[in-house]
Amino acid sequence: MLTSCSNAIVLTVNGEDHMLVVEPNELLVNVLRNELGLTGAKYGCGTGQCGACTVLIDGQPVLSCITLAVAVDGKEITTIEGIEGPNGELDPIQEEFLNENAVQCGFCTPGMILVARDLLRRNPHPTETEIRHHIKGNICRCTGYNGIVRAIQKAAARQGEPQSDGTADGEKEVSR
Amino acid sequence: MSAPVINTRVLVNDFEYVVPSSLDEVLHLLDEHGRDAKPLAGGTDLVLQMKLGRRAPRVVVDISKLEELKRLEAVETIRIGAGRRYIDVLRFLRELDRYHGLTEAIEGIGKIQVLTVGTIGGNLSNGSPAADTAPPLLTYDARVRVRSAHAERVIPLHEFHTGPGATVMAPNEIMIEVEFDAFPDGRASAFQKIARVACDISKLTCAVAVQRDGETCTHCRVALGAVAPVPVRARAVEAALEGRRIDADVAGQCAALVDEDISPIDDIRCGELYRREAAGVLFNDAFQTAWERARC
Repeated sequence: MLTSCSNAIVLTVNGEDHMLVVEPNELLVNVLRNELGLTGAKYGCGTGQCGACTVLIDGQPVLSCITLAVAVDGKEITTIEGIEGPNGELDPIQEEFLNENAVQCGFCTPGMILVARDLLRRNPHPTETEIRHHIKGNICRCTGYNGIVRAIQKAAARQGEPQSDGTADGEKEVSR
Repeated sequence: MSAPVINTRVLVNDFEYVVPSSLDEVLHLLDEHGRDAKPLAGGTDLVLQMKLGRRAPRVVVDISKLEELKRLEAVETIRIGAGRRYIDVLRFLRELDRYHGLTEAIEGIGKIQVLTVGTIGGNLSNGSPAADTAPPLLTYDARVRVRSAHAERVIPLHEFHTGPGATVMAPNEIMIEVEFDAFPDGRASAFQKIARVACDISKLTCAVAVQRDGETCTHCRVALGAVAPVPVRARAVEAALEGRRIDADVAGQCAALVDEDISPIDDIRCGELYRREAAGVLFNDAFQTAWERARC
């Protein structure tokens, strides 16, 4: 009757396959941090409000503190550790976060950068309003957001001029 | 006795996790386990409830991959699969460009991390009085289609919620889809929400749908969330406006009638008096927006 009560899962994290044995009640954030040593995703509020635990699952931002690890079996997960270039160079968004001093304590930063990446994928040239709208699920208690917004604007500007159809997969409308 | 310590770092209760490959299998599991089983769609509510110790299912049934729950259809009836992610529903609604109240309600849910996994089925089935999709769907006279291993039934949404966290669905039933009739020409809707910050749970919400014939309102639906034990229709103000010529400040004058159908409480988000005052204002805003939209 039960098609799956196995706890063996495979997660592709930052391009690398990991076979893991997990309990059904294990949360993705804890598996990433404790089993795989990827501490970029932060445990913040634990209740899906602050966005510090954001990771990308099959390219979509998801809150890893309210995601069961078993439920993402077979999926591709990207954490902040996985966005650097092939030679370890920073992602343009990371660089602009540094340039704009968009980081103080740094706790929100991994989630903020992953959400920014998601925004620029959907909408390569967002307005300031669109940026603020897209990062509204990520709480920063240090910077006042202005540096973060500027950093995302600058990273967007580095992507070149708007193209007639710059959207990656037609999901631009989400960032309105 | 001190309050139990809630640790949201881990999920403490044990459960079995199942991924059925078909809806039939889900229904049989729910039939077999009854209240001990809980369907998991996006998990943004269920996992949180489990963390907070409010729910402790012994079997968690993952329904997120079931194609049977993902219909999106717009012919004479608009059908939205209960298991469709908000992000897909939003794109579908924006293409239709007609059901603005529901579109705005989903936009208001807000954060991208919830839009990518959350579903209307979850929003309605969890029975929250503050469920953002409920008021616009109430103004559309929406129905929910629920199914068990034994039968399928269609329930008018206004009969669906029975109290905070409670619905008429039996533990062995699951929501398949939400449906409502396509708007005739001249009908439009709007949604308004007040929340403390962008992504917070609503303090209160109001949706309006109107049918406009020149300057006369021939059909009016008003519904509010987070102002009663369930999302409610504001029937007194509906009755006052239906058939009425809408000039000057008719809606503003009728706004006080909203109070007749609500029974708000004080809670951590705001007080009863605030909700009573704000409900009329929110209604007026939503009405004006819907009325303007119905012009063309």
